[in-house]
Amino acid sequence: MLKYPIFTFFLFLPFLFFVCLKPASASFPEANALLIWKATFKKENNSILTSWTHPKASGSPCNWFGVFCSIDGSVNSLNLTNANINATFYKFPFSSLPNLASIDFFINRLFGTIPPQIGKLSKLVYLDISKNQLTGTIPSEIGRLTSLRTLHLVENQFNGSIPSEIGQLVSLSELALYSNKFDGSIPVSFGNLRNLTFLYLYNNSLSGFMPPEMGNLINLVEVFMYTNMLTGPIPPTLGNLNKLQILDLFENQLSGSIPPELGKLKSLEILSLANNNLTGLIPASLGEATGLITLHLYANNLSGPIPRELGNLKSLSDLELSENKLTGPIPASLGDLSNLEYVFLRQNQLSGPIPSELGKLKKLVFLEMDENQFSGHLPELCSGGLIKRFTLSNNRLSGPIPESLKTCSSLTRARFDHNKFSGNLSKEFGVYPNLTFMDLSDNKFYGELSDNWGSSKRLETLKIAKNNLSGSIPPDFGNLNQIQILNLSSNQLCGGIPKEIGKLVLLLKIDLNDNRLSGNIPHELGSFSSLNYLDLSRNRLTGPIPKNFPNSEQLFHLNLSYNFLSQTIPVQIGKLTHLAALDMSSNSLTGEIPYEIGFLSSLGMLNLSHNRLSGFIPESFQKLPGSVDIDISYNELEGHIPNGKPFQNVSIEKLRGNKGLCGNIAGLQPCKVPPIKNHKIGKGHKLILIVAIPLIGGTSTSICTRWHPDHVRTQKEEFKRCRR
Amino acid sequence: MALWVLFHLLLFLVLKPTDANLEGDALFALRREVHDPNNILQSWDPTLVDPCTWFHVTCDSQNRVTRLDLGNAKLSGKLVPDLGKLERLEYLELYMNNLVGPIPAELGNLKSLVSLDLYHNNLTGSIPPSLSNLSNLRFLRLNRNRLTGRIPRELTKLGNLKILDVSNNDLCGTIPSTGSFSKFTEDSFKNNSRLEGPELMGFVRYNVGRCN
Repeated sequence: MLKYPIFTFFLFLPFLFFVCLKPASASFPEANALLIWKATFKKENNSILTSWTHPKASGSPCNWFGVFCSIDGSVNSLNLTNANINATFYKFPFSSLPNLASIDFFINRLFGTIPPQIGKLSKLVYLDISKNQLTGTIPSEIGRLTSLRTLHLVENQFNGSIPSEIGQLVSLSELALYSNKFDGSIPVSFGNLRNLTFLYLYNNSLSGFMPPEMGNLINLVEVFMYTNMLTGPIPPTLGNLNKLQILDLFENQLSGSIPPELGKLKSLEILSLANNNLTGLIPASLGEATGLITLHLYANNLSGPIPRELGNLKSLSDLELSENKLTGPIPASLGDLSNLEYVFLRQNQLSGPIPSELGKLKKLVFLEMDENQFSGHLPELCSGGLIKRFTLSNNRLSGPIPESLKTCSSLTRARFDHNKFSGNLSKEFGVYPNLTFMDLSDNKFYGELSDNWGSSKRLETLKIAKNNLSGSIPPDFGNLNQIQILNLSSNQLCGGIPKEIGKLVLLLKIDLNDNRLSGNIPHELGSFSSLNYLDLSRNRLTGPIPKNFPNSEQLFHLNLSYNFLSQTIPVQIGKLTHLAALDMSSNSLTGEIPYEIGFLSSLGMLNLSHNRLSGFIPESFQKLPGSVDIDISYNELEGHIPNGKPFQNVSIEKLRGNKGLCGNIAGLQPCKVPPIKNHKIGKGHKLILIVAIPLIGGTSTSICTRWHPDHVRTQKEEFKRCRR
Repeated sequence: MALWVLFHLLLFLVLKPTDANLEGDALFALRREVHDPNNILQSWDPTLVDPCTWFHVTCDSQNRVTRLDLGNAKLSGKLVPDLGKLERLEYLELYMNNLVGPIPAELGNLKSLVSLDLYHNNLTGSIPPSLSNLSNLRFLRLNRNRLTGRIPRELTKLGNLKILDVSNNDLCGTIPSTGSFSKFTEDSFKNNSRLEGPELMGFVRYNVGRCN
């Protein structure tokens, strides 16, 4: 034998050769299969997959990017998150990766459908193909993946019904199908998914009833089914889910009443049934779900009272019951919910006083109870000093503002409007450094506007209309340099409009009408370049309309009516090309109607009645939009009515009481001579005016004192009372 | 798992108190789309019950939006089709901005619209024929944009139209001259180099090819 060892060695050599060089038998076909799939990828700018090349040394793909193998060298996991892969699944090696347990292709550009071959991946435990562009339905073969624990198909374009075969995935712990276009009902077979912990079906078009079998899923921790079209009742069996922490059914069409069984859910932290069609009472038993942190029942048709048992929810921080038909009082027990930060009870039929116990809530940040029938006086409410949004408008509350609200410096947005609050305004409110919005309109506040308001420098909207305020507007209002809307209308404010208001360059809307403001319109008001809306009507303003006034081409509403303004209409008025409504009626304006009024190409309403305007109606009125509603009655105008649409259907009421208008309108005398060309004041007419003015002036002063008998006397009285 | 919980809680809080206020949502879609360097849309807070306290928005007594005044506001970006949902909108004032993109056809759903002012922007594409559904429209000012295509003949049925300005664009084809268009002068159409002049009734000469 020893003679032939070398010989035997050389005999064995080829075998050795094969044994050493032959690649691990499991990896070679797997690598090939993956490369076949890769070949179908569209060319993208990614160097990530350069490692996916045909191996030279060994056939193993186990060092490729995103490929992971088990000890025996077989591919068990593919993780290609955010790899910019633009491909389909049609050539994916479903049959060639027998040990594949995990697929994570989250965030790519995969498109097309899921092939039924997916059912071949029998060892699959984790499947995430979320955030791709996949379409079509889930194949029923998915039911074969009985090892699957996590299924994420989130944010694709899948449609069709959820196949009932999903109910066969008995290992499933996490099911996420949200943000797709799934429709049809939730399969009853879901009741078999005993291991299900997280169920995310939100933002689809799911319809039909929630299966009561869901009550079998006792391991459920989170259920998000919001924003679908689910109908029918909330199954009472959900009360069995004693590990449930979040139940979010917001924005569906669920009906019937809230099952009292939900009170059994001791682990429940977030319950949202908002924006559905639920009816009936809020069950008192909800007070037993003592883990609740957030309770949203708003925007339903719930009726009856707020159960006092809700006072047992000691962890509650967010309570929202708005937009229902709840009646009765706020239970005093809510004052025990010391963690409450957000309380929304708005738009219900709640009544009675606001319990003083609510003053115990030190963590309150938002308190919105507007549009109810609350009555009585306010208790102290801002004891924690944290309230930012405070809305009580549209109730029947009365009495003064409590001290804690006067000093509630955290306020950003406060609405007290449309109540019967009373008291001396300058004593009721303090300085609010963060306040941007304040509405006190339609109450019974009296007294004066204090200088404090000027110190709340962040104010953007200030409305104190329809109260009994007196005194004058403080010049300190000129410090409100963020203000955009100012409404002090319907009070008894007197004195002049402070010129400091002209500094408030952000003003969009100024409403000072229906007061006793006197003096001239400050010419500083001409500096607003963004002003949209100006109403100074029904005051006692005198003097001229400032020449530069108003300067904002965005002005769409200008009302100066019912004042004592005199002199002429400024020609600048013609720049207001967006003016829809112009009312200067019931003043003492003189001179001619400026030709420039014809440039107001958006005008819908023009009221110059009850003034002392003279001369002719400018021909330029023909250029006004044909639908404009014109009233020039009770002036001293003469001459013929211009042709054109604006005057075609005008009635005599809008023209009467002038000096000598003529034209082809019922009730108006026809013009005797061929109409004189009424272009811009012709030289010929100037002579007539020169003669006429003193005559007219003489007659008009006597008429003036007869028309406005209180004019001079009232002015003097005002100056006495309004000193500030 | 903690990440999932956090993610969903955040989504949850964002979806808080909008009660299907469709008009506020429609306006907020505009806010999300445009670029607003002067922050004039800062008051547009979607957590408020309705948009009626937002600046530049005017509502009627039923809290429905009637006016949107955003002229000369340095806005850029595109118009959103959601604007078509504002059924009581009477005045849509978006003139003198830097808006680009097309005029959404959905604006034809604004059945209460009296004034549509999109002039002095950088809008492209053609004038949607759907604007002919705006039966209350009195003012239509689209001048100074880069609009192309024909002037839709359907617009002549707008019986209330008083003021039309499509000048300074790149429109082509003929100028309709029937219906409400009979009162407009050439000023409404000037500076459109490819506009051919008034259509000649009686000549069935609808050009194809040169104007798309």
